[in-house]
Amino acid sequence: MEEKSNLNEKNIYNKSTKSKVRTSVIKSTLGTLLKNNKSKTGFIMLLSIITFSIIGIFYSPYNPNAYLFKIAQPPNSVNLLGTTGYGQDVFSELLRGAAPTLMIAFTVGLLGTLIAVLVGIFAGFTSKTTNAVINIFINIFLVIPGVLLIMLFGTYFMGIRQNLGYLPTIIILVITGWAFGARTFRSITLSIVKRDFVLSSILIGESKISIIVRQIMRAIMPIIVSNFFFTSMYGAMGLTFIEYLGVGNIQQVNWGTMLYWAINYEAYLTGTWWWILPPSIMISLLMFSLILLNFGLDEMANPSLRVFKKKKRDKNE
Amino acid sequence: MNELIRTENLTKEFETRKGFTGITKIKALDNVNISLYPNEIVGIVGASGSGKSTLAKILVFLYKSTSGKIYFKDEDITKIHGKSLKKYRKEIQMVFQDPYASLDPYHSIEWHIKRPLLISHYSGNIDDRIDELMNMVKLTPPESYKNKFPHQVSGGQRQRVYIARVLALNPQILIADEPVSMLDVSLRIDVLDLLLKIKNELGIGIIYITHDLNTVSMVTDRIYVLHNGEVVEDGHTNTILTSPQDGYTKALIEAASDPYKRI
Repeated sequence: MEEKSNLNEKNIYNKSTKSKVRTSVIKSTLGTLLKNNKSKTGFIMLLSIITFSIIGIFYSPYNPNAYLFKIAQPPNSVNLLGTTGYGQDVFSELLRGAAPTLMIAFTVGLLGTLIAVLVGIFAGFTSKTTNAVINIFINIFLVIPGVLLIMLFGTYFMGIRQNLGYLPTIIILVITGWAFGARTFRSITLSIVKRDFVLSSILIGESKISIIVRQIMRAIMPIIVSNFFFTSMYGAMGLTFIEYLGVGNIQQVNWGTMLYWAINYEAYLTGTWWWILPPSIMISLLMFSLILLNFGLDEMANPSLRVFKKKKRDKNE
Repeated sequence: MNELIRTENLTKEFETRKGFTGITKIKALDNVNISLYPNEIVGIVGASGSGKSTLAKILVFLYKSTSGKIYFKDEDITKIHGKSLKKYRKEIQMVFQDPYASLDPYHSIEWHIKRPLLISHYSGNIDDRIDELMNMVKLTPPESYKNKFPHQVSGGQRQRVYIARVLALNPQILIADEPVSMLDVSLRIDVLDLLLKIKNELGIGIIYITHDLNTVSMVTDRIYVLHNGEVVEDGHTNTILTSPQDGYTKALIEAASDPYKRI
């Protein structure tokens, strides 16, 4: 009997190839993400917002930039969400503005996380002096008020901004947004490097790059993903902020500029709530979905945060 | 026969800061002279804080010694670095105390044994060599363990995986830093037998570090007794355990229940 079961096991292991193992890893990560109610809700919300933005790239009921209608019309059958104080269709603007907003949020998230991971892990894995120098550097970026940098860079890019599109905005947000993550990664790397399994790899003769890519990155993967969501959130928020301050390109259509024009028109005083609320709600929903995803990841990485459901059976007893 | 490794007046001081300017020095090792011959297990015995682990970490160059010299096959290696350090590290490997921490939780057992083979550019068939190593440490059949992750096997098995990992490099010296202290008592004998087997079949010199006199009597040929960073007594295991000379050794033996009792 035993031999038989061993043979079976042999067959199974021979069949399973490396790529299969890898896809199963991705599947299981997604599976655990969807098992958690919070991250599941966040995931579905984010997915629907992304779908919304993709539709917006190809289709909008009217040209969002054209002044086609009467000004400040409340929602009706022609204009689903009413019109702006300048006579544009709010729903078209909302639809068309989704893609750039998401694009900026995720680009900032991606670039910010990339810089944070590189700087953080490098700082945690080098000599004490280099670590101290990089730490000071990170702290400087943490301490400089982001608003100031945004105003400064924003006004600097004012003149050349037209042909650069969203690039200056992204650069500003990445510069002000990477330091927090870098500090997190630095401290985590410092603690992992002292663990036995990394010492063991050093003794075996693994190169530093191999240890970083194969072992440290792997161990902090949930935190990297969580940091990506966090920085993306900062990106979306920062875009709104930049556009609100008017240091971005206000001709472009996104949720930030929508708010800028609404506030410029003093929509909150004239009572055109259909102009202010949609972009605000969409930005809040985007934030909320990212926060929920982060919560779910937290619970995955730290089992002590998990709340276990009581089975229904217990209630009946 | 020549020594594999020999230390000469090895001293290690740790500095701790007190306030802004005050630095106090703590001597972890004080003029330690030990030697290891091929095909031999040497025990290093001492209480917690006696400098055993510091000595192990200096020998694998995770710490730098403050003064003193280390000879590997009569060659002074105290100040090696870079490529020659990498070459030396292939010859001397260390087994850690905690098998739950020394294996990477994100990688399979096969990976742990494969990496050292890949790094040392093993010339033969790597898969065959992995099977051979796993059979040697009695992880049989190898197929049923290869794709498992460290958390799926027991502590004793983890320690064997780790031993297979270090043996993949064909080292001449193995430093075992309390390899069985984290294990269930019933599993210790297997790991100790494995150490004896490695010594007899591969002729590897083993430095066995422990605070447990019972296991020392089972496997070691000679022992050094460390106390506050100093070697207070050394000699053949039987001689020391039956007629200890130093007061500290006497107290240590007194504290152990029965050095000849097999666990």
